[in-house]
Amino acid sequence: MATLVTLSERCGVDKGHEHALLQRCRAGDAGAYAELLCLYRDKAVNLAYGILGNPADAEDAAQEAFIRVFKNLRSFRGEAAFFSWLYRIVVNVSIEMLRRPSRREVPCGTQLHARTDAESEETERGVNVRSVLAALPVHLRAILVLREADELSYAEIAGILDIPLGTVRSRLSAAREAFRRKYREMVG
Amino acid sequence: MRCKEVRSLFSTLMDGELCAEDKSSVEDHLCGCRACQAGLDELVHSREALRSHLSLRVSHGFEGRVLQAIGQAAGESTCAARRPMLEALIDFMQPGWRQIAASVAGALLLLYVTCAAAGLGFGSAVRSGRAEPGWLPEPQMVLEEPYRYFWYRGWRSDEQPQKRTHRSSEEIERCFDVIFS
Repeated sequence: MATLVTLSERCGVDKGHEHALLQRCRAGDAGAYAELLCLYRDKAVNLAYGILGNPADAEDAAQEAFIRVFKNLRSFRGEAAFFSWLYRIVVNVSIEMLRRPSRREVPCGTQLHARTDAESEETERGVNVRSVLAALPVHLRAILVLREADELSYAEIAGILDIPLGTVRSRLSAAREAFRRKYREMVG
Repeated sequence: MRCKEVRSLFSTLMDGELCAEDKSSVEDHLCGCRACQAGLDELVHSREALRSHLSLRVSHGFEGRVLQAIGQAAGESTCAARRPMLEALIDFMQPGWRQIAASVAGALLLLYVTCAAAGLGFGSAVRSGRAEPGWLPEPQMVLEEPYRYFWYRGWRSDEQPQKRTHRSSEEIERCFDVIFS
């Protein structure tokens, strides 16, 4: 079995330091909150991006998630890992955004900036990957991003999505198989 | 193990979450099955493609926007805490709840007026000497102790008041029969 290494540790965040940061945030220290934001900003935005497929929506979702974290920080008792709580909020906000009728619909390729010829092939591959990911059902997309982007353990994913371990295993297998099939159809 | 069974374990195998026994069985199968080996290679390849395109560079100024939004949210929550309780309650109540509350209040008022108009007495207060026959209690008193003030009309003026503080269930039923008949 794989050794359990939490996301905080992979991000280089010392658990004691994170605990102290959270305490300072609860006490209203704006600097502590800015530090916490820097630690998890990229992870939160990338998770939302994987689910939403749109950079602007991803940043909006991450912003909304951080605001909810701020509002509910006093009720966070630290029984679960902080990142697990944050990720659950990001996933929920992203799913809520997907249901909004006013959501921006930007094709996967259009948000990419103009690149040099040398980068065009890589860009095209990225567009294909994004298109395939966007074509998957949202529950498969979410679990795939949690596992592949952050290499979270099955137990961590189960905690974030609030599903049993067995469901994580079967859903992840289904998500990978669906991605493989669609990716092969697209790239040949 | 059959091919279908082996392929269902690929995902867990890639994550290193397979138990030693299953892992050994899958690897044995893969040694003799080119199709399954190709399937696993393809799955690994698609995973690598996905992993290499999942990151997004967060736009400049993201933290500033978030902190500003949090500052606004904090300001709103502080203002909300300072608002009078009644105003906050009105804000909290959705239109549907307002209609229900208004309906309940209207129904209570109608009941009170109907009782008074029908001459339903408020015998308890009269009997206890706190009021004269024909006296009407304040609405607040009725709301606080409705059972005390709903009484049969005959007790108010025509009959001798009796020193009783409790009513039988039959009397209460009779009272409600009169009110709702």
